[in-house]
Amino acid sequence: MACSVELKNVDKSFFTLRGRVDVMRGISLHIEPRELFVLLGPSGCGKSTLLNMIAGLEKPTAGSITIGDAVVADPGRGVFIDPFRRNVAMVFQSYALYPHMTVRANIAFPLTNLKPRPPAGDIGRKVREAARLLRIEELLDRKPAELSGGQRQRVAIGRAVVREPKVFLMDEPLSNLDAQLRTEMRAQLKELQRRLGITTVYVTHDQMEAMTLGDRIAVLNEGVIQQLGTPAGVYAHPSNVFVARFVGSPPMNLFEGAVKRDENTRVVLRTADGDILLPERLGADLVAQGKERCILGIRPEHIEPVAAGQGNFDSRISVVENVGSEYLASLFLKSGHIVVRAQHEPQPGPAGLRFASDRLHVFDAGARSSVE
Amino acid sequence: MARPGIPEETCKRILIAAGAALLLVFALSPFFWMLWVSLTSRPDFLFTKTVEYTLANYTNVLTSPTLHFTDYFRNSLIVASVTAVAVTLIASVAGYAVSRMRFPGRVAIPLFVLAMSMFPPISIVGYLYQWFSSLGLVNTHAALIFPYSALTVSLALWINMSYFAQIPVDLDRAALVDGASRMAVLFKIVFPLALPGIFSAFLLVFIACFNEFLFALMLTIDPFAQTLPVGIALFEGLHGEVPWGNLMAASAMATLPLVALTLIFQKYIVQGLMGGAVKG
Ligand SMILES: Nc1ncnc2c1ncn2[C@@H]1O[C@H](COP(=O)(O)OP(=O)(O)OP(=O)(O)O)[C@@H](O)[C@H]1O
Ligand SMILES: [Mg+2]
Repeated sequence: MACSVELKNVDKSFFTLRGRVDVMRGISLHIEPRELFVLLGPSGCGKSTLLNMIAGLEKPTAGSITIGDAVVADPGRGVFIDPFRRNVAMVFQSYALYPHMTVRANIAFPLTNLKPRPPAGDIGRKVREAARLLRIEELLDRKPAELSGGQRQRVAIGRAVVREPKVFLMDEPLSNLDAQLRTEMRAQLKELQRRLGITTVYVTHDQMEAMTLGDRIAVLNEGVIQQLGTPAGVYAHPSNVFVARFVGSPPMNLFEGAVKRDENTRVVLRTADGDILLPERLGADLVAQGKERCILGIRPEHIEPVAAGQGNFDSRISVVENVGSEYLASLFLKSGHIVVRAQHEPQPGPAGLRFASDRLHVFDAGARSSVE
Repeated sequence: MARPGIPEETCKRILIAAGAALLLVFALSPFFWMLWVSLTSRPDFLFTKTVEYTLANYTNVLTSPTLHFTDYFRNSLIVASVTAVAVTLIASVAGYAVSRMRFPGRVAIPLFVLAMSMFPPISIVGYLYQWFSSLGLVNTHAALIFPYSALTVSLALWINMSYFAQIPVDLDRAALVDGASRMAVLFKIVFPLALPGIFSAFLLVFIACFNEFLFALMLTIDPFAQTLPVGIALFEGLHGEVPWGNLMAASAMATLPLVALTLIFQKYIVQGLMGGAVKG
């Protein structure tokens, strides 16, 4: 019963009193059956809009959307299936529980809309099953107002799972929970999705959630897909500066500068904060390509603090934070806030930074996309 | 402000109580006056030494074949309830459409409806009379139900719109995704949550129709269709004097349905139905 979801060249514009707002451009995605697919992007990039289009709550302006074998939206051919005929389930950013109904009635609601309507006995059994799955059995007779945030969230998920939909759509379901509950619910959600084997599109602005949950993730910015791939793949090979900064915490360090030779004819990146010595291979490649300016990226864990003069770059560590299992050293440079992640406590003051030479990322200074 | 010795809290309470008492006296004194007069045998008792209490006025109004009180009462109930039910239904569905769906005119329509209800009744009643005469509607219940509906629908529409606006749109969207058609969303989600507003609208429309005078006076002719306000106004005494006792008794009984409706609906017109809908 697991369905694929396919979007082809989907555009979305809103037509408001103040004119046309283009929110989404050329979105193409193929989501496999049973996959847990994560849409990751900053606030306002169009994640909810994309989810709403799959649900049928918004119509695409152009392009087509297919769920399973059925084309559900294709404005070019005048096709649009109403949301209540799509058999998808959605957990809303706001939970959207029906406040005048008990938890039991909330969870039963999708079943009562089926045609033909299942017998009361079946509905009751399925509601109890869903409640047991989510451990909210003792809450069934309460109203939403009498529940905590985490409980409401479970009810919202219960309402989604109760009728075995073709696709689950989840719009930042964990964003309003406290950190501890969020981690717990994240693991539970993943386990639940595996067990039910229902294709899921999960929206979040939290890169941590995306990394831990997703089979694959799509990074979205300003209505355009920036990169599509496995969490590990996206983390290891960000395709542009936006993805490099957005995925990973603390984010990747970036240095922009000119490719030059220093007095010893070694290839360096001349930045506002001084010369960064490039590894021989990389330097040779950049010179061979005739690159004059580029952006060098390196993740905090791939920098090792060493004695001044021993690394690729000499600078000053300003602050060292102990975050429990490791240390975060901060450098406030003209290039920005540079973070180094270290196992052993670095000392504030002058230091050299040694970059792991096989972990350097180079981005084009103009297009800001990866050159490799 | 509070002088030493009198706590500010006490001051506040006294002021609130005084304000409430003033308001009550102002609103209720005509009503008690009416009840009082209706229960006395002579309306000029203020100028006599003795007051004699009696239910004669009530029995007279209810039993007199010439006063037609029960006819008027029935007509008023029919006209007011049919109008209130129809207007509430129309205004609920229309209110949902203009507050939730995107279509051209969603801003203009409520304003247009509001403008319609701003015509002074006196300016349209003459034309309505001619029109309804040619349709054979004069002196029927329909002659009142149609204009009442047209004139009160804006009131109900605007009340409903303001209530619908308080219901998070995500609830509609969730219900749609949960497989409910637009109509099902309306009846299972939006209406139950907007009940206080819908009841308020029903009540206000009912009261407006029940008390309306001008149209009823012009568009109905005899007790077959005339409503209470007109009927009571046309009460005649034996020798041409104003039959105060009968008038007041009839008026007191005329307020009964309104009081009853208000008491019934009051428990629904409470706030706080919306708790727990959305997080935060
Ligand atoms: N009905 C609308 N009319 C006009 N613009 C809209 C409408 N709905 C959304 N937008 C715009 O579309 C863009 C994307 O909105 P969307 O809600 O999809 O963002 P999001 O990625 O879900 O953000 P968040 O993380 O804050 O929920 C925003 O710039 C928003 O202003
Ligand atoms: Mg959103």
